[in-house]
Amino acid sequence: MDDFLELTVSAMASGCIYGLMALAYLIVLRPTSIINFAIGEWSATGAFVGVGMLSTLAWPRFEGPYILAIVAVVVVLGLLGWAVERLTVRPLIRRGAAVTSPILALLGVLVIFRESLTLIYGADPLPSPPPFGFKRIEIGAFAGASQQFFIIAVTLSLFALVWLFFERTVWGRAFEAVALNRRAAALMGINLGRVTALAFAGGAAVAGLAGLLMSPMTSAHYMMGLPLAIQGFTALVIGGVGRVEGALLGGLILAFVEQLGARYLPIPSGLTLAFPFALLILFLLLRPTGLIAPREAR
Amino acid sequence: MLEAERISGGYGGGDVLHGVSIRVGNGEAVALLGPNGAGKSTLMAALTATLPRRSGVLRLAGHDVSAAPSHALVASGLALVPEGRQIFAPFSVRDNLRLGAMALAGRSSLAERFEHVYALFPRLAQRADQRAGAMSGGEQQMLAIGRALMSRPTILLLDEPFLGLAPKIIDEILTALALLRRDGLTLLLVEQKLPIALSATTRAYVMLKGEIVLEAGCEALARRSDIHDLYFSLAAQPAQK
Repeated sequence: MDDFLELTVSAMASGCIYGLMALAYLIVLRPTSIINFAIGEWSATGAFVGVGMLSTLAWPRFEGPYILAIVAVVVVLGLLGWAVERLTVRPLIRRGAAVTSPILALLGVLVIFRESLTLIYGADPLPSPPPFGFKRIEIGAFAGASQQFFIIAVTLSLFALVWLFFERTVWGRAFEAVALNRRAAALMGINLGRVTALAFAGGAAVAGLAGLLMSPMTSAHYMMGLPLAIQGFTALVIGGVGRVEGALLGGLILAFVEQLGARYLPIPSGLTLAFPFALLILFLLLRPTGLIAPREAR
Repeated sequence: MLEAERISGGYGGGDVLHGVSIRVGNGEAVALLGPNGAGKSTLMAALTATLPRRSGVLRLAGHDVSAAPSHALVASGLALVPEGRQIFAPFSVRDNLRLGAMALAGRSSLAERFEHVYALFPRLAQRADQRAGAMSGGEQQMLAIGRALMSRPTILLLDEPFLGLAPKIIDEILTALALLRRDGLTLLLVEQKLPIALSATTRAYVMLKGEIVLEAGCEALARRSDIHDLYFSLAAQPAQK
Protein backbone atom coordinates (compact mmCIF):
# COMPACT_ATOMS: atom_id res chain seq x y z
CA MET A 1 0.00 0.00 0.00
CA ASP A 2 2.83 2.37 0.91
CA ASP A 3 4.47 1.98 -2.44
CA PHE A 4 1.13 2.53 -4.13
CA LEU A 5 0.80 5.92 -2.45
CA GLU A 6 4.36 6.79 -3.38
CA LEU A 7 3.60 5.71 -6.91
CA THR A 8 0.60 8.05 -6.85
CA VAL A 9 2.83 11.07 -6.22
CA SER A 10 5.27 10.05 -8.92
CA ALA A 11 2.46 9.36 -11.42
CA MET A 12 0.79 12.65 -10.57
CA ALA A 13 4.05 14.48 -11.29
CA SER A 14 4.62 12.70 -14.62
CA GLY A 15 0.98 13.20 -15.50
CA CYS A 16 1.34 16.92 -14.87
CA ILE A 17 4.29 17.09 -17.28
CA TYR A 18 2.33 15.16 -19.94
CA GLY A 19 -0.62 17.45 -19.27
CA LEU A 20 1.55 20.53 -19.83
CA MET A 21 2.81 19.09 -23.11
CA ALA A 22 -0.78 18.32 -24.15
CA LEU A 23 -1.70 21.90 -23.21
CA ALA A 24 1.15 23.21 -25.38
CA TYR A 25 -0.25 21.25 -28.33
CA LEU A 26 -3.77 22.39 -27.52
CA ILE A 27 -3.01 26.12 -27.29
CA VAL A 28 -1.59 26.03 -30.83
CA LEU A 29 -4.02 23.47 -32.27
CA ARG A 30 -7.29 24.99 -31.11
CA PRO A 31 -7.24 28.30 -32.99
CA THR A 32 -4.98 27.26 -35.88
CA SER A 33 -5.74 23.54 -36.55
CA ILE A 34 -1.97 23.03 -36.67
CA ILE A 35 -0.41 20.11 -34.78
CA ASN A 36 2.99 21.37 -33.78
CA PHE A 37 5.35 18.46 -33.09
CA ALA A 38 8.23 20.89 -32.53
CA ILE A 39 7.00 21.49 -28.97
CA GLY A 40 9.06 18.48 -27.83
CA GLU A 41 12.20 20.32 -28.93
CA TRP A 42 10.88 23.51 -27.42
CA SER A 43 10.58 21.79 -24.04
CA ALA A 44 14.22 20.66 -24.36
CA THR A 45 15.15 24.24 -25.24
CA GLY A 46 13.28 25.40 -22.14
CA ALA A 47 15.25 22.96 -20.01
CA PHE A 48 18.56 24.24 -21.41
CA VAL A 49 17.65 27.90 -21.02
CA GLY A 50 16.62 27.22 -17.42
CA VAL A 51 19.75 25.22 -16.64
CA GLY A 52 21.84 27.99 -18.16
CA MET A 53 20.24 30.50 -15.84
CA LEU A 54 20.73 28.27 -12.80
CA SER A 55 24.28 26.97 -13.22
CA THR A 56 27.58 28.15 -14.55
CA LEU A 57 27.88 25.10 -16.80
CA ALA A 58 25.93 26.39 -19.73
CA TRP A 59 24.95 29.44 -21.68
CA PRO A 60 23.44 31.88 -20.68
CA ARG A 61 25.78 31.88 -17.67
CA PHE A 62 24.05 33.36 -14.72
CA GLU A 63 23.57 31.81 -11.30
CA GLY A 64 20.19 33.30 -10.63
CA PRO A 65 17.30 32.44 -8.35
CA TYR A 66 14.82 29.83 -9.61
CA ILE A 67 12.00 32.27 -10.24
CA LEU A 68 14.28 34.12 -12.66
CA ALA A 69 14.91 30.87 -14.54
CA ILE A 70 11.16 30.33 -14.86
CA VAL A 71 10.63 33.88 -16.13
CA ALA A 72 13.54 33.52 -18.57
CA VAL A 73 12.16 30.24 -19.95
CA VAL A 74 8.69 31.72 -20.45
CA VAL A 75 10.02 34.88 -22.11
CA VAL A 76 12.69 33.25 -24.31
CA LEU A 77 10.46 30.40 -25.46
CA GLY A 78 7.55 32.77 -26.00
CA LEU A 79 9.73 34.88 -28.29
CA LEU A 80 11.04 31.79 -30.09
CA GLY A 81 7.51 30.48 -30.66
CA TRP A 82 6.43 33.88 -31.93
CA ALA A 83 9.44 34.07 -34.28
CA VAL A 84 8.86 30.56 -35.62
CA GLU A 85 5.25 31.44 -36.41
CA ARG A 86 6.36 34.61 -38.20
CA LEU A 87 9.07 32.89 -40.23
CA THR A 88 7.54 29.51 -41.12
CA VAL A 89 3.79 29.37 -40.55
CA ARG A 90 2.63 32.83 -41.59
CA PRO A 91 4.29 32.90 -45.02
CA LEU A 92 2.66 29.54 -45.81
CA ILE A 93 -0.79 30.63 -44.68
CA ARG A 94 -0.45 33.89 -46.58
CA ARG A 95 0.22 31.93 -49.75
CA GLY A 96 -2.90 29.87 -49.16
CA ALA A 97 -1.06 26.61 -48.41
CA ALA A 98 -2.96 23.56 -47.16
CA VAL A 99 -3.06 23.06 -43.39
CA THR A 100 -0.63 20.14 -43.67
CA SER A 101 2.13 22.44 -45.00
CA PRO A 102 2.78 24.26 -41.69
CA ILE A 103 2.79 20.88 -39.90
CA LEU A 104 5.55 19.62 -42.20
CA ALA A 105 7.44 22.92 -41.99
CA LEU A 106 7.33 22.64 -38.19
CA LEU A 107 8.89 19.17 -38.43
CA GLY A 108 11.77 20.95 -40.15
CA VAL A 109 11.83 23.47 -37.30
CA LEU A 110 12.03 20.50 -34.92
CA VAL A 111 15.23 19.27 -36.58
CA ILE A 112 16.74 22.77 -36.58
CA PHE A 113 16.08 23.17 -32.86
CA ARG A 114 17.46 19.74 -31.97
CA GLU A 115 20.66 20.25 -33.94
CA SER A 116 21.09 23.78 -32.60
CA LEU A 117 20.85 22.44 -29.05
CA THR A 118 23.68 19.95 -29.65
CA LEU A 119 25.75 22.71 -31.27
CA ILE A 120 25.26 25.14 -28.40
CA TYR A 121 25.16 22.81 -25.39
CA GLY A 122 26.85 19.65 -26.65
CA ALA A 123 25.49 16.13 -26.72
CA ASP A 124 26.08 15.30 -23.06
CA PRO A 125 23.24 15.67 -20.54
CA LEU A 126 23.51 18.70 -18.27
CA PRO A 127 22.40 18.26 -14.66
CA SER A 128 19.57 20.54 -13.66
CA PRO A 129 19.39 21.62 -10.00
CA PRO A 130 15.91 21.24 -8.49
CA PRO A 131 14.67 24.41 -6.73
CA PHE A 132 14.17 22.69 -3.37
CA GLY A 133 17.13 20.32 -3.48
CA PHE A 134 16.88 16.55 -3.37
CA LYS A 135 14.81 16.43 -0.18
CA ARG A 136 12.13 13.85 0.35
CA ILE A 137 8.81 15.27 1.37
CA GLU A 138 6.01 13.44 3.17
CA ILE A 139 2.50 14.82 3.30
CA GLY A 140 0.47 12.34 5.34
CA ALA A 141 0.81 8.99 3.63
CA PHE A 142 1.95 10.60 0.37
CA ALA A 143 5.69 10.80 -0.09
CA GLY A 144 7.97 11.80 -2.93
CA ALA A 145 10.83 13.96 -4.10
CA SER A 146 10.43 17.69 -3.51
CA GLN A 147 10.63 18.23 -7.27
CA GLN A 148 7.57 16.03 -7.79
CA PHE A 149 5.50 18.16 -5.44
CA PHE A 150 6.92 21.29 -7.09
CA ILE A 151 5.85 20.01 -10.53
CA ILE A 152 2.34 19.27 -9.30
CA ALA A 153 1.96 22.69 -7.66
CA VAL A 154 3.27 24.67 -10.65
CA THR A 155 1.22 22.66 -13.14
CA LEU A 156 -2.04 22.99 -11.23
CA SER A 157 -1.53 26.76 -10.84
CA LEU A 158 -0.71 27.12 -14.53
CA PHE A 159 -3.76 25.13 -15.59
CA ALA A 160 -5.92 27.30 -13.33
CA LEU A 161 -4.49 30.44 -14.96
CA VAL A 162 -4.95 29.13 -18.50
CA TRP A 163 -8.48 27.98 -17.68
CA LEU A 164 -9.29 31.46 -16.34
CA PHE A 165 -7.81 33.02 -19.46
CA PHE A 166 -9.97 30.93 -21.80
CA GLU A 167 -13.18 31.07 -19.78
CA ARG A 168 -13.11 34.50 -18.20
CA THR A 169 -11.25 36.95 -20.48
CA VAL A 170 -12.29 38.49 -23.77
CA TRP A 171 -9.05 37.40 -25.42
CA GLY A 172 -9.65 33.84 -24.26
CA ARG A 173 -13.13 33.99 -25.76
CA ALA A 174 -11.60 35.38 -28.95
CA PHE A 175 -9.22 32.38 -29.15
CA GLU A 176 -12.16 30.03 -28.74
CA ALA A 177 -14.20 32.01 -31.28
CA VAL A 178 -11.41 31.56 -33.84
CA ALA A 179 -11.48 27.81 -33.10
CA LEU A 180 -15.25 27.65 -33.58
CA ASN A 181 -15.53 29.75 -36.73
CA ARG A 182 -12.51 31.52 -38.23
CA ARG A 183 -14.51 33.61 -40.65
CA ALA A 184 -17.05 34.85 -38.13
CA ALA A 185 -14.17 35.64 -35.77
CA ALA A 186 -12.49 37.75 -38.45
CA LEU A 187 -15.79 39.58 -39.00
CA MET A 188 -15.77 40.48 -35.28
CA GLY A 189 -12.58 42.41 -35.82
CA ILE A 190 -10.40 39.71 -34.26
CA ASN A 191 -6.91 39.83 -35.76
CA LEU A 192 -6.38 36.21 -36.86
CA GLY A 193 -2.66 36.74 -37.44
CA ARG A 194 -2.21 38.03 -33.91
CA VAL A 195 -4.18 35.13 -32.42
CA THR A 196 -1.99 32.66 -34.35
CA ALA A 197 1.23 34.36 -33.21
CA LEU A 198 0.04 34.47 -29.59
CA ALA A 199 -0.97 30.80 -29.78
CA PHE A 200 2.54 29.81 -30.87
CA ALA A 201 4.16 32.03 -28.23
CA GLY A 202 1.90 30.62 -25.50
CA GLY A 203 2.34 27.02 -26.63
CA ALA A 204 6.13 27.41 -26.72
CA ALA A 205 6.20 29.01 -23.25
CA VAL A 206 4.16 26.17 -21.74
CA ALA A 207 6.32 23.54 -23.46
CA GLY A 208 9.49 25.26 -22.25
CA LEU A 209 8.18 25.34 -18.70
CA ALA A 210 7.38 21.60 -18.91
CA GLY A 211 10.96 20.95 -20.02
CA LEU A 212 12.39 22.99 -17.16
CA LEU A 213 10.19 21.20 -14.60
CA MET A 214 11.13 17.79 -16.02
CA SER A 215 14.88 18.44 -16.30
CA PRO A 216 15.92 17.72 -12.66
CA MET A 217 14.64 14.13 -13.07
CA THR A 218 16.18 13.42 -16.49
CA SER A 219 18.87 16.12 -16.89
CA ALA A 220 18.68 18.57 -19.76
CA HIS A 221 19.42 16.58 -22.87
CA TYR A 222 18.99 17.29 -26.55
CA MET A 223 16.96 14.09 -27.01
CA MET A 224 14.59 14.73 -24.10
CA GLY A 225 11.99 16.33 -26.36
CA LEU A 226 10.94 13.30 -28.37
CA PRO A 227 9.39 11.20 -25.57
CA LEU A 228 7.72 14.34 -24.18
CA ALA A 229 6.25 15.13 -27.58
CA ILE A 230 4.85 11.60 -27.89
CA GLN A 231 3.50 11.44 -24.36
CA GLY A 232 1.98 14.89 -24.65
CA PHE A 233 0.31 14.00 -27.93
CA THR A 234 -1.10 10.81 -26.39
CA ALA A 235 -2.38 12.79 -23.41
CA LEU A 236 -4.02 15.23 -25.82
CA VAL A 237 -5.78 12.43 -27.72
CA ILE A 238 -6.95 10.78 -24.48
CA GLY A 239 -8.26 14.00 -22.95
CA GLY A 240 -9.77 15.41 -26.12
CA VAL A 241 -8.48 18.17 -28.36
CA GLY A 242 -11.03 20.74 -27.29
CA ARG A 243 -10.68 21.67 -23.66
CA VAL A 244 -7.97 22.78 -21.27
CA GLU A 245 -9.12 20.44 -18.50
CA GLY A 246 -8.99 17.53 -20.96
CA ALA A 247 -5.24 18.01 -21.45
CA LEU A 248 -4.58 17.59 -17.71
CA LEU A 249 -6.96 14.65 -17.41
CA GLY A 250 -5.34 12.91 -20.40
CA GLY A 251 -1.86 13.46 -18.96
CA LEU A 252 -2.82 12.03 -15.58
CA ILE A 253 -4.54 8.96 -17.08
CA LEU A 254 -1.52 8.22 -19.27
CA ALA A 255 0.93 8.56 -16.38
CA PHE A 256 -1.12 6.34 -14.07
CA VAL A 257 -1.51 3.63 -16.71
CA GLU A 258 2.24 3.77 -17.43
CA GLN A 259 3.41 3.63 -13.83
CA LEU A 260 0.82 1.23 -12.42
CA GLY A 261 1.34 -1.00 -15.44
CA ALA A 262 5.10 -1.01 -15.01
CA ARG A 263 4.73 -1.78 -11.29
CA TYR A 264 1.98 -4.39 -11.23
CA LEU A 265 1.81 -6.01 -14.67
CA PRO A 266 4.21 -8.91 -15.29
CA ILE A 267 5.94 -7.43 -18.34
CA PRO A 268 9.58 -6.49 -18.93
CA SER A 269 10.28 -2.87 -18.02
CA GLY A 270 11.54 -2.06 -21.51
CA LEU A 271 8.04 -2.59 -22.85
CA THR A 272 6.52 0.16 -20.71
CA LEU A 273 7.54 2.57 -23.46
CA ALA A 274 4.78 0.94 -25.50
CA PHE A 275 2.06 2.17 -23.15
CA PRO A 276 1.56 5.59 -24.71
CA PHE A 277 1.39 4.06 -28.18
CA ALA A 278 -1.06 1.37 -27.07
CA LEU A 279 -3.30 3.99 -25.46
CA LEU A 280 -2.94 6.27 -28.47
CA ILE A 281 -4.10 3.52 -30.86
CA LEU A 282 -6.89 2.48 -28.51
CA PHE A 283 -8.29 6.00 -28.25
CA LEU A 284 -7.91 6.83 -31.92
CA LEU A 285 -9.88 3.66 -32.73
CA LEU A 286 -12.55 3.78 -30.05
CA ARG A 287 -12.93 7.39 -28.97
CA PRO A 288 -11.21 9.80 -31.39
CA THR A 289 -12.83 12.85 -29.75
CA GLY A 290 -11.14 12.03 -26.43
CA LEU A 291 -12.81 11.97 -23.05
CA ILE A 292 -13.87 15.63 -22.98
CA ALA A 293 -15.40 16.60 -26.29
CA PRO A 294 -14.77 20.06 -27.76
CA ARG A 295 -17.56 22.61 -27.96
CA GLU A 296 -19.69 22.17 -31.04
CA ALA A 297 -19.73 25.03 -33.51
CA ARG A 298 -23.53 24.87 -33.80
CA MET B 1 -19.29 55.67 -48.33
CA LEU B 2 -18.50 52.25 -49.83
CA GLU B 3 -17.16 51.93 -53.35
CA ALA B 4 -16.15 48.67 -54.95
CA GLU B 5 -14.64 48.83 -58.41
CA ARG B 6 -14.23 45.88 -60.77
CA ILE B 7 -13.95 43.29 -57.98
CA SER B 8 -12.93 39.83 -59.21
CA GLY B 9 -12.26 36.78 -57.15
CA GLY B 10 -13.56 33.44 -55.96
CA TYR B 11 -12.82 30.30 -54.03
CA GLY B 12 -10.12 27.95 -55.28
CA GLY B 13 -9.35 28.12 -58.99
CA GLY B 14 -12.23 29.80 -60.80
CA ASP B 15 -13.57 33.30 -60.29
CA VAL B 16 -17.10 33.68 -58.99
CA LEU B 17 -17.09 37.47 -59.29
CA HIS B 18 -16.34 39.03 -62.68
CA GLY B 19 -15.50 42.70 -62.30
CA VAL B 20 -18.29 43.71 -59.95
CA SER B 21 -18.67 47.42 -59.21
CA ILE B 22 -21.10 48.79 -56.66
CA ARG B 23 -21.40 52.06 -54.80
CA VAL B 24 -23.31 52.83 -51.64
CA GLY B 25 -23.65 56.48 -50.67
CA ASN B 26 -23.54 57.93 -47.18
CA GLY B 27 -26.79 57.19 -45.30
CA GLU B 28 -28.18 55.28 -48.26
CA ALA B 29 -29.95 51.91 -48.07
CA VAL B 30 -29.18 49.72 -51.07
CA ALA B 31 -30.34 46.22 -51.92
CA LEU B 32 -28.35 43.54 -53.71
CA LEU B 33 -30.81 41.25 -55.45
CA GLY B 34 -30.25 38.04 -57.30
CA PRO B 35 -31.10 34.35 -57.36
CA ASN B 36 -29.25 31.58 -55.55
CA GLY B 37 -25.71 31.16 -56.80
CA ALA B 38 -25.47 34.64 -58.31
CA GLY B 39 -22.40 35.37 -56.18
CA LYS B 40 -24.02 37.73 -53.67
CA SER B 41 -22.47 36.08 -50.61
CA THR B 42 -19.15 35.79 -52.40
CA LEU B 43 -19.29 39.55 -52.99
CA MET B 44 -19.99 40.10 -49.27
CA ALA B 45 -16.94 37.96 -48.47
CA ALA B 46 -14.84 39.95 -50.95
CA LEU B 47 -16.03 43.27 -49.49
CA THR B 48 -15.07 42.17 -45.97
CA ALA B 49 -11.73 40.66 -47.07
CA THR B 50 -12.68 37.20 -45.79
CA LEU B 51 -12.19 36.11 -49.40
CA PRO B 52 -8.97 37.17 -51.13
CA ARG B 53 -9.76 39.45 -54.07
CA ARG B 54 -7.86 38.76 -57.27
CA SER B 55 -8.34 42.27 -58.54
CA GLY B 56 -10.37 45.39 -57.91
CA VAL B 57 -10.36 48.44 -55.70
CA LEU B 58 -12.26 48.89 -52.45
CA ARG B 59 -12.80 52.33 -50.95
CA LEU B 60 -14.37 53.10 -47.59
CA ALA B 61 -15.27 56.71 -46.77
CA GLY B 62 -12.91 57.88 -49.52
CA HIS B 63 -9.90 55.86 -48.32
CA ASP B 64 -8.43 53.05 -50.40
CA VAL B 65 -8.77 49.94 -48.22
CA SER B 66 -8.05 47.37 -50.95
CA ALA B 67 -5.16 45.88 -48.97
CA ALA B 68 -6.79 46.06 -45.53
CA PRO B 69 -7.41 42.77 -43.67
CA SER B 70 -10.85 41.96 -42.24
CA HIS B 71 -10.16 43.17 -38.72
CA ALA B 72 -8.92 46.53 -40.00
CA LEU B 73 -12.08 46.95 -42.09
CA VAL B 74 -14.21 46.26 -39.01
CA ALA B 75 -12.19 48.82 -37.07
CA SER B 76 -12.80 51.42 -39.78
CA GLY B 77 -16.56 51.00 -39.65
CA LEU B 78 -17.59 48.16 -41.96
CA ALA B 79 -19.58 45.31 -40.41
CA LEU B 80 -21.21 42.25 -41.98
CA VAL B 81 -24.07 40.14 -40.69
CA PRO B 82 -23.05 36.97 -42.51
CA GLU B 83 -25.31 34.51 -44.28
CA GLY B 84 -26.58 31.84 -41.90
CA ARG B 85 -25.95 34.11 -38.88
CA GLN B 86 -22.67 32.39 -37.84
CA ILE B 87 -23.17 33.18 -34.17
CA PHE B 88 -20.92 31.48 -31.62
CA ALA B 89 -23.49 28.93 -30.47
CA PRO B 90 -21.75 27.63 -27.31
CA PHE B 91 -21.22 31.14 -25.94
CA SER B 92 -23.73 33.23 -24.05
CA VAL B 93 -25.59 36.06 -25.78
CA ARG B 94 -23.50 38.57 -23.81
CA ASP B 95 -20.20 36.91 -24.85
CA ASN B 96 -21.29 36.95 -28.49
CA LEU B 97 -22.03 40.66 -28.25
CA ARG B 98 -18.76 41.30 -26.41
CA LEU B 99 -16.82 39.61 -29.22
CA GLY B 100 -18.60 41.87 -31.68
CA ALA B 101 -16.89 44.79 -29.95
CA MET B 102 -13.35 43.38 -30.31
CA ALA B 103 -12.41 46.21 -32.67
CA LEU B 104 -13.88 48.83 -30.35
CA ALA B 105 -11.52 50.75 -28.09
CA GLY B 106 -12.54 52.08 -24.71
CA ARG B 107 -14.66 50.74 -21.87
CA SER B 108 -17.22 53.53 -21.72
CA SER B 109 -18.14 53.08 -25.37
CA LEU B 110 -18.52 49.34 -24.70
CA ALA B 111 -21.26 49.95 -22.15
CA GLU B 112 -22.86 52.39 -24.58
CA ARG B 113 -22.86 49.76 -27.36
CA PHE B 114 -24.49 47.15 -25.10
CA GLU B 115 -27.18 49.70 -24.21
CA HIS B 116 -27.72 50.56 -27.85
CA VAL B 117 -28.13 46.92 -28.94
CA TYR B 118 -30.31 45.97 -25.95
CA ALA B 119 -32.56 48.97 -26.67
CA LEU B 120 -32.90 47.90 -30.30
CA PHE B 121 -33.55 44.22 -29.46
CA PRO B 122 -34.87 44.03 -25.86
CA ARG B 123 -35.11 40.25 -26.17
CA LEU B 124 -31.34 40.01 -26.24
CA ALA B 125 -31.18 41.78 -22.88
CA GLN B 126 -33.62 39.25 -21.43
CA ARG B 127 -31.54 36.38 -22.75
CA ALA B 128 -28.09 37.84 -22.05
CA ASP B 129 -26.88 34.83 -20.05
CA GLN B 130 -28.47 32.19 -22.27
CA ARG B 131 -26.49 29.94 -24.58
CA ALA B 132 -26.81 31.60 -27.99
CA GLY B 133 -27.34 28.31 -29.83
CA ALA B 134 -30.39 27.53 -27.69
CA MET B 135 -32.36 30.54 -28.96
CA SER B 136 -34.94 30.59 -31.75
CA GLY B 137 -33.87 31.39 -35.31
CA GLY B 138 -35.32 34.89 -35.09
CA GLU B 139 -33.52 35.64 -31.85
CA GLN B 140 -30.28 34.30 -33.28
CA GLN B 141 -30.69 36.66 -36.24
CA MET B 142 -31.25 39.57 -33.86
CA LEU B 143 -28.08 38.50 -32.05
CA ALA B 144 -26.14 38.35 -35.33
CA ILE B 145 -27.28 41.90 -36.18
CA GLY B 146 -26.66 43.14 -32.64
CA ARG B 147 -23.20 41.58 -32.64
CA ALA B 148 -22.33 43.39 -35.87
CA LEU B 149 -23.58 46.68 -34.39
CA MET B 150 -21.27 46.31 -31.37
CA SER B 151 -18.31 47.52 -33.43
CA ARG B 152 -20.11 50.84 -34.04
CA PRO B 153 -20.20 50.46 -37.83
CA THR B 154 -20.90 53.30 -40.22
CA ILE B 155 -21.99 50.85 -42.90
CA LEU B 156 -23.75 47.57 -42.18
CA LEU B 157 -23.88 44.74 -44.72
CA LEU B 158 -26.62 42.16 -44.18
CA ASP B 159 -26.52 38.87 -46.08
CA GLU B 160 -30.06 37.45 -46.37
CA PRO B 161 -30.97 38.17 -42.76
CA PHE B 162 -34.64 37.24 -43.25
CA LEU B 163 -34.11 33.74 -44.62
CA GLY B 164 -36.44 31.24 -42.96
CA LEU B 165 -37.91 33.68 -40.43
CA ALA B 166 -41.58 34.11 -39.48
CA PRO B 167 -43.31 37.23 -40.88
CA LYS B 168 -43.70 38.70 -37.39
CA ILE B 169 -39.94 38.47 -36.76
CA ILE B 170 -39.21 39.87 -40.23
CA ASP B 171 -41.35 42.92 -39.35
CA GLU B 172 -39.52 43.32 -36.04
CA ILE B 173 -36.14 43.28 -37.76
CA LEU B 174 -37.32 45.61 -40.53
CA THR B 175 -38.46 48.07 -37.84
CA ALA B 176 -35.04 47.86 -36.22
CA LEU B 177 -33.33 48.49 -39.58
CA ALA B 178 -35.56 51.53 -40.16
CA LEU B 179 -34.52 52.90 -36.76
CA LEU B 180 -30.86 52.35 -37.60
CA ARG B 181 -31.28 54.14 -40.90
CA ARG B 182 -32.96 57.06 -39.18
CA ASP B 183 -29.84 57.31 -37.01
CA GLY B 184 -27.73 57.61 -40.14
CA LEU B 185 -26.44 54.06 -40.59
CA THR B 186 -25.69 53.11 -44.19
CA LEU B 187 -27.13 49.74 -45.26
CA LEU B 188 -26.36 47.19 -47.96
CA LEU B 189 -28.95 44.42 -47.87
CA VAL B 190 -28.57 41.15 -49.76
CA GLU B 191 -32.01 39.74 -50.48
CA GLN B 192 -33.78 37.41 -52.86
CA LYS B 193 -37.32 38.68 -52.35
CA LEU B 194 -38.18 42.03 -53.92
CA PRO B 195 -41.03 42.99 -51.50
CA ILE B 196 -38.69 42.82 -48.50
CA ALA B 197 -35.93 44.71 -50.30
CA LEU B 198 -38.50 47.35 -51.28
CA SER B 199 -39.60 47.93 -47.71
CA ALA B 200 -36.05 48.47 -46.44
CA THR B 201 -34.11 50.08 -49.28
CA THR B 202 -34.45 52.71 -51.99
CA ARG B 203 -32.05 51.51 -54.68
CA ALA B 204 -31.04 48.07 -55.89
CA TYR B 205 -28.42 46.21 -57.83
CA VAL B 206 -29.36 42.94 -59.52
CA MET B 207 -26.63 40.34 -59.72
CA LEU B 208 -26.53 37.32 -62.00
CA LYS B 209 -23.71 34.83 -62.49
CA GLY B 210 -21.14 37.01 -60.76
CA GLU B 211 -21.99 40.23 -62.61
CA ILE B 212 -24.13 43.26 -61.88
CA VAL B 213 -26.74 43.20 -64.66
CA LEU B 214 -29.04 46.00 -63.53
CA GLU B 215 -29.08 49.01 -61.27
CA ALA B 216 -32.41 50.70 -60.56
CA GLY B 217 -34.54 52.48 -58.02
CA CYS B 218 -36.61 50.07 -56.00
CA GLU B 219 -39.90 51.59 -57.10
CA ALA B 220 -38.98 51.29 -60.76
CA LEU B 221 -38.05 47.67 -60.17
CA ALA B 222 -41.34 46.99 -58.44
CA ARG B 223 -43.19 48.03 -61.58
CA ARG B 224 -41.31 45.43 -63.62
CA SER B 225 -43.58 42.46 -62.95
CA ASP B 226 -42.36 39.58 -60.79
CA ILE B 227 -38.73 39.53 -59.73
CA HIS B 228 -38.26 35.89 -60.72
CA ASP B 229 -39.42 36.72 -64.23
CA LEU B 230 -36.94 39.55 -64.09
CA TYR B 231 -34.05 37.25 -63.16
CA PHE B 232 -35.20 34.96 -65.92
CA SER B 233 -35.40 37.60 -68.64
CA LEU B 234 -32.11 39.18 -67.58
CA ALA B 235 -30.42 35.78 -67.65
CA ALA B 236 -31.72 35.17 -71.17
CA GLN B 237 -30.05 38.25 -72.62
CA PRO B 238 -26.32 38.97 -72.54
CA ALA B 239 -25.26 41.11 -69.59
CA GLN B 240 -25.44 44.86 -70.09
CA LYS B 241 -22.28 46.63 -69.14
